[in-house]
Amino acid sequence: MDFIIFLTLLLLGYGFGTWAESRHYKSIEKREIQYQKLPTIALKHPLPQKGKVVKVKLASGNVVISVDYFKRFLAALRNIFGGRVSAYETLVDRARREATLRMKESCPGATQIINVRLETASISKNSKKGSVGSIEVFAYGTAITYR
Amino acid sequence: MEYSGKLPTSNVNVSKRTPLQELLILLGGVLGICLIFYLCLGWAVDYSIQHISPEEENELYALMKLPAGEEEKAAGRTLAVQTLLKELQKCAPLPYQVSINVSDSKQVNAVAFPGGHILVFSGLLDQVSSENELVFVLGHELGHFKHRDHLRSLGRGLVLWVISLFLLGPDNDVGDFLFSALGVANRTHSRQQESAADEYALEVLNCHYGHVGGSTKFFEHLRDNNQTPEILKYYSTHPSDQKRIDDLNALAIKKNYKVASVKPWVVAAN
Repeated sequence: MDFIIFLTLLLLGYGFGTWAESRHYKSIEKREIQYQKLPTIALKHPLPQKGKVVKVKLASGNVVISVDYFKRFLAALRNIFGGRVSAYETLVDRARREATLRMKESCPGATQIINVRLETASISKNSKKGSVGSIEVFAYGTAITYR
Repeated sequence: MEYSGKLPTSNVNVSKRTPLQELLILLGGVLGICLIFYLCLGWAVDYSIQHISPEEENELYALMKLPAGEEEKAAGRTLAVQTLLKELQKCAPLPYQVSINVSDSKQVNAVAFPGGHILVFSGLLDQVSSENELVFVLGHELGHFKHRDHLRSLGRGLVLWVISLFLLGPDNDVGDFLFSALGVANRTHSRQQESAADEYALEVLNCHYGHVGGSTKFFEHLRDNNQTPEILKYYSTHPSDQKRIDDLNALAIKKNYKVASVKPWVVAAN
C-alpha cells in the first residue's frame, strides 16, 4: 500500500512538475525577449548614456519555487552516488531568471539597472518528513531612469 | 561601448539529460547494490540461526511484547488440542518446549509464536471437519519451529532495516521506497517458508496416521471462501491456496504417501 502511494506521488510529481516547468519556461522566454533591450548589468557604474538622470531607485524581484516529489526523489538518489544534481538545475535556473525578470518588471520605464545582485535562500533546509523543500531567489539592483 | 541586449542561444546551466533517464540509471544502481547486500546478509542470517539455541531465542523474544490473545472460556477443546499436540511431538521432535492454547476469535487461523508457543483460534476449530485436517495445521506450525522461521524473518527484517538506515538515514523517501521494493522480495522468501512448513506438515501427518488423508481440506475451504483479488496475491506472504493444494498432492504422490479415510473431529466448543 505504501508502495502504491509512493508511486502515485512520484507519477504526480513527474507529471505536474514537468507540466509546470515547461509552462514556466515558456513564460520566462517570452518575457525575456520583451525586456531584452533593458541593460541589466553587474557593474557598479552606469553605462555611458545621453540625457539627464531623472530617477534612481532600488529595484528588486523575489521568487520562491518549490521542488516536486519526483525531483526530490531524484536528488535523494543522487545523494548516494554524488555528481551533478541535474534534477535541481532547472529549478534554480528558473528561480534566478524569474527573479531577475520580476526585478525588471518592478521598475517600468527604467533605462538601465546596475549593480545587480542575486541572493538565494533555501526554505525548510532540514529535510524533515513532510516538509517541502523550496528555493528563494532575490534579485536586486539600482534602476536608473534617464530623460 | 554600445550595449546590445542579446539572449544566450543555449542554456549552459541546465543539463541535457532527461530526468527519467537519470532516474533509471540511479534507481538501477541503488536497487542492484541493495539486492546484493540483502542476499549476502540473508545468507548470513540463514547460516547464523543454526547457532542460536532455543533458549537464546526465548531470551531474544522476551524483549518484545507479543500478543497473547483472549483464551477460550471452555477448557474442553483446549485440553483436546493439547493432548493432540503432545502425541504429534513423537512425530516431530523439536528442541522447543512446545505449548498450545486456544484463543477465542472468529478467525480461521493458527499462529506460531517465537519460543514454541502455538495459538489456535476457535474459528479454526469450529470449521475443521476432521482431526487430520487439524493435525495438518498444527504440523504446519511445528514446521515453522522446525525451520526456525521466526529467526529467519526477524533476521531478514533486521537486515532490510539496517541497509536502509545505513544508506539513507531514518525517515527518507528513498529508504521507504527500498523498504517496500525489497519487502516484496522478502515476501517471496516468506512464501517459500510457508511451502516448506506445508511439506513438514505432510510428513507429520503421514507419521501420525500412516496416511495423508485430509491434508488439503483446510486449503480447499480457504480457497472456496477467499475473495482476494488476483493482483494482490503478488503482495501476499502466503502462496495461493490452489497452489498449496496442488503442491501437497504432487508431494504426496512423489513420496508415495497413502490416502485413507479421515478421523472425525468431534470435540465440541463446550
